[in-house]
Amino acid sequence: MEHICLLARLNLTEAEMDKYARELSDVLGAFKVLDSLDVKDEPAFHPIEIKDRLREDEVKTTKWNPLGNAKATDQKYFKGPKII
Amino acid sequence: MADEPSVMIGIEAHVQLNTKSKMFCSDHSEAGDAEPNTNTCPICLGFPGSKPKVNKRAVDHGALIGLALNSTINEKSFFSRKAYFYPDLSKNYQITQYEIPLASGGYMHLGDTKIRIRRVHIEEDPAKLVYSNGDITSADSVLMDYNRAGVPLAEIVTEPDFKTPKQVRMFMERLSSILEYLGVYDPKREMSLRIDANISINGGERVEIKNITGFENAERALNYEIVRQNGIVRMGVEVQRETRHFDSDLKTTKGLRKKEYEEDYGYIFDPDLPMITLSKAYVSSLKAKMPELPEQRIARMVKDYKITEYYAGVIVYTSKPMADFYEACIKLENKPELIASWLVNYLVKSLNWRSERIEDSKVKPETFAEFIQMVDKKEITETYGKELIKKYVDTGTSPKKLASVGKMSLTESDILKIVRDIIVKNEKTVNEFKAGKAEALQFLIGLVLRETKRQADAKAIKGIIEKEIR
Amino acid sequence: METSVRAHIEAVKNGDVKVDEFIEEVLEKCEKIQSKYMPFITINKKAEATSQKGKLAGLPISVKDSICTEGIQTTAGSKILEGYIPPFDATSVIQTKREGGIIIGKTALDEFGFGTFSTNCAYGTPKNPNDPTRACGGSSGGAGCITAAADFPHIAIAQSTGGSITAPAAFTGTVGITPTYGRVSRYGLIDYANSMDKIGVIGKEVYDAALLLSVISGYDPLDSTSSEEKPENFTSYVGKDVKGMKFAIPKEYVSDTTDKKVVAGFMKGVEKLRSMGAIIEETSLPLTKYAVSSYYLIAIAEASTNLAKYCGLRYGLQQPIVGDFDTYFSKVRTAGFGNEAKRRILLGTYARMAGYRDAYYLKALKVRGKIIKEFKAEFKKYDALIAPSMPILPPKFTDIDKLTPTEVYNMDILTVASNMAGIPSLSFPIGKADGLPVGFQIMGDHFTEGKLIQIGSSLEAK
Repeated sequence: MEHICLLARLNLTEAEMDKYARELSDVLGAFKVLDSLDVKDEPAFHPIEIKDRLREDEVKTTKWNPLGNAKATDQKYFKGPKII
Repeated sequence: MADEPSVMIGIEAHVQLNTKSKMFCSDHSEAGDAEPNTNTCPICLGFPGSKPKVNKRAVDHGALIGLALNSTINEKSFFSRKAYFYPDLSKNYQITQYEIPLASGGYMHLGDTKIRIRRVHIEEDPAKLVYSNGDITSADSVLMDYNRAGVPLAEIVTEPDFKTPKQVRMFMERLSSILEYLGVYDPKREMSLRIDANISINGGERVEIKNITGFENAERALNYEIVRQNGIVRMGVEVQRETRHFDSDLKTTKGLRKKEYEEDYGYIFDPDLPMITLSKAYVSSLKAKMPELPEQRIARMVKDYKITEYYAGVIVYTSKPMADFYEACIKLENKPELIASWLVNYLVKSLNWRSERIEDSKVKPETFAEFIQMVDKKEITETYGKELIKKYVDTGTSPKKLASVGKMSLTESDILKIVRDIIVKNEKTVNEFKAGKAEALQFLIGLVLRETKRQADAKAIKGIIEKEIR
Repeated sequence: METSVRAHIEAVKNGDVKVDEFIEEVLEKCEKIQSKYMPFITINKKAEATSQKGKLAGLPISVKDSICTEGIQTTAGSKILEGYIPPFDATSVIQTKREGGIIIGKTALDEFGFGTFSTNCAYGTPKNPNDPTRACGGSSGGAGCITAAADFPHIAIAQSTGGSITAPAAFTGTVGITPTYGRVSRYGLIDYANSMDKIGVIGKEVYDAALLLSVISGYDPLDSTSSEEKPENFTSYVGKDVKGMKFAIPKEYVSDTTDKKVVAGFMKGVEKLRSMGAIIEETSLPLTKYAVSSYYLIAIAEASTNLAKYCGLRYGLQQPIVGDFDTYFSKVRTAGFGNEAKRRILLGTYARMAGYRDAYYLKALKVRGKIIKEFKAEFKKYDALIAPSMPILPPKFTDIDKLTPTEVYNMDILTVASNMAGIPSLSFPIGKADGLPVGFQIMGDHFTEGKLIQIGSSLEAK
């Protein structure tokens, strides 16, 4: 459970971790119904098969302000927390 | 004496493809010196609601690379999301190909060694991070520039078939050449080819060295790693599994903070993107359009021009423009062996010394052919030729002009030899000069000038004669 | 004030409406409705008419707050996008504005679409205009709420992943159309589950829904999953009858756990269709029992990656830059996401982990393939499948609090399969039981929205 929180970047208190762990167990138990189904079909990635929607290699620039919603910037850079 | 350690190295090469636009949006794929974040759009910045769309040319380029590396092109391939959190990922996942890449299986021969290629796939490049004081470990914040985010990358993964760092370097040189010949990448672009290397010694833990650019650096980094790991083992310590970075200034590898957990990328098929189908017909048409590859060019040059494989190799692997230059010269002056010899032994060295590429230099096939002609007709000596070539590379002036204008000088010892020779042969005139006749000196200088075919400076000759006679 | 969309558009075309004054009045009415039922997260005080021409000229349109509107706050119902001002309009919004539609506000939703009752909205829970102690349904609860409560002409742009248009349409007593996956561009829709998200419509009448659907349908080169199927003028199906059409009721959709009052209401609809010349049989969809699990597995796997981008950088909720990035990300995400979002992110992360992927995520994708085949086989025999929209009447908020997550997920049993399969459905308010609306749903094969509108229109006919 702790590992999942780390991967998901979510901080949970001990109490929350217990609660979520139980709920997850519950939900996963419900999912177990799938075990009884033997499926040899191909996975369906979309409701209708979607193939080769490709874009021509052409440049089209966008006029916009990418920093408009950012609170932390430095000149034209986005500013973020340190790596280490 | 310990046995040679058994070294296993595998690499993942990342190539920036020279498409016009990015992998999943229509921004420039080469931002150049643009100010930070000015080559972006909501898609490559991963803004909520934006959706990617695949660049057709990137798919073609990826398939070409696969074919050039003798791989099988998969009829169906898919895009996946590789999820991990890092400020250089605008969506905190990278769109790549996980389950089924564009191409699988393949190989490259390095002499007797066969390096197996596991896969070739396409993905998007992350952004550029700048550290507020230039150092990743001590900066208190990070600055993000997404101009590069979304540039198309081809990733080439090998099996751990390399046994020495030198092989890795050779592989990178060959790979770079193949990519250049395919026209899918620009070797002049900074950071356009980078590798991650995985090395394990004597069955020990795998160490990954990330983001190495440059063929020499790859060899250096791996050599350093071997020394470092052997050192640790000699002290009785086990090698840790970790990720390290190569410091190109210090020429060492250093580890970053160790993660407490193994990153689980939780791959899913990217539901915003289509399946890519590459039919047999498409693959055939790609094969038909494939340009001549380096190995093929070498073989052809050896056969047609009767030059050694060594010469052909240097010419071809230096760069495509160099090989093109070579063949252009042959068309003007049909002396392939002679041209090859001067090119490999002197021109390449001269250009390297100046860190210049042939296509950026002042050297042109027409003028180089002139030079070869002069050598062939023995109008200039080899010694003189070596000097002439340096000045020629410097100025680009036609060698014929350089030779006749007399701005070139022979070496002092050459001139000295000639002067002494003249003095011996012209005793009478020498005595006249000694007696005070000024015209005698002029006469002697004239003789020397004629002998040196006017390639020596008259003033210098005067000085030498005077010295010799006194 | 006239509430008929048809009449209003006619009046605007004839120049009988002073659109600027009209909009002012509408915004005032919105404020009043907002204080009673809270359908909105943001009311667009700067709403103004763009053109007197177009299919939606002078018509107020509300937009679910998971759909981007340039210059107007878009939150997806979450604190993590508080204050976010999109730099672009979603394609469906561009299409709406081009036809003269006026964006009057952004409607409330369960955070990112995670919910069946719109009780997971960080900006307030919309209340059912039929009974404010009860829920509007979700996740497009605000859209259903304002459509039902509006005393002015209006149509809502909504969205569905597992039933988020059908549920609020059923609970608020309005008409909801969930189109075929790919029928309407998803560009500008804040993603929940990209392979199942669909933008759709909620209106007071079948005509209204059909009109807006016609405007927002069509191929969009920006959306790789957008269908090239030609958009239709769906209003042309209004007024046609169902004589000779063949429908079937999947027996798994009317069970012991379905509220008897809902069943009674549904059967009234069945009788009406029969009386109009339709042939109605029973059929079976045995894969129904796997639908909820496989739906949720795909949904959470996709959603947990979609929500990774919200980390306190570049937009939305941001905090002072302190500490290293892992610490910062965790802090902001923990503060910004509600409980249901956290639950789904954790579940989704788990379902994608190496070692679990095959048993969960990949298997669910295969089950989807099977479910699609099952539906397709039915539509070879029938024009449409019909069933109740929801298994219960609109519940009280106090009852919702007592439900476990699994119980909530099971509320979607009647809508997840069709949504997973990407087939279109229409929910029609067939009547009331104890003053509470009952929804009648009609499901059709891919791209048969016209037929569904035809059937819904027949039910609407007096």
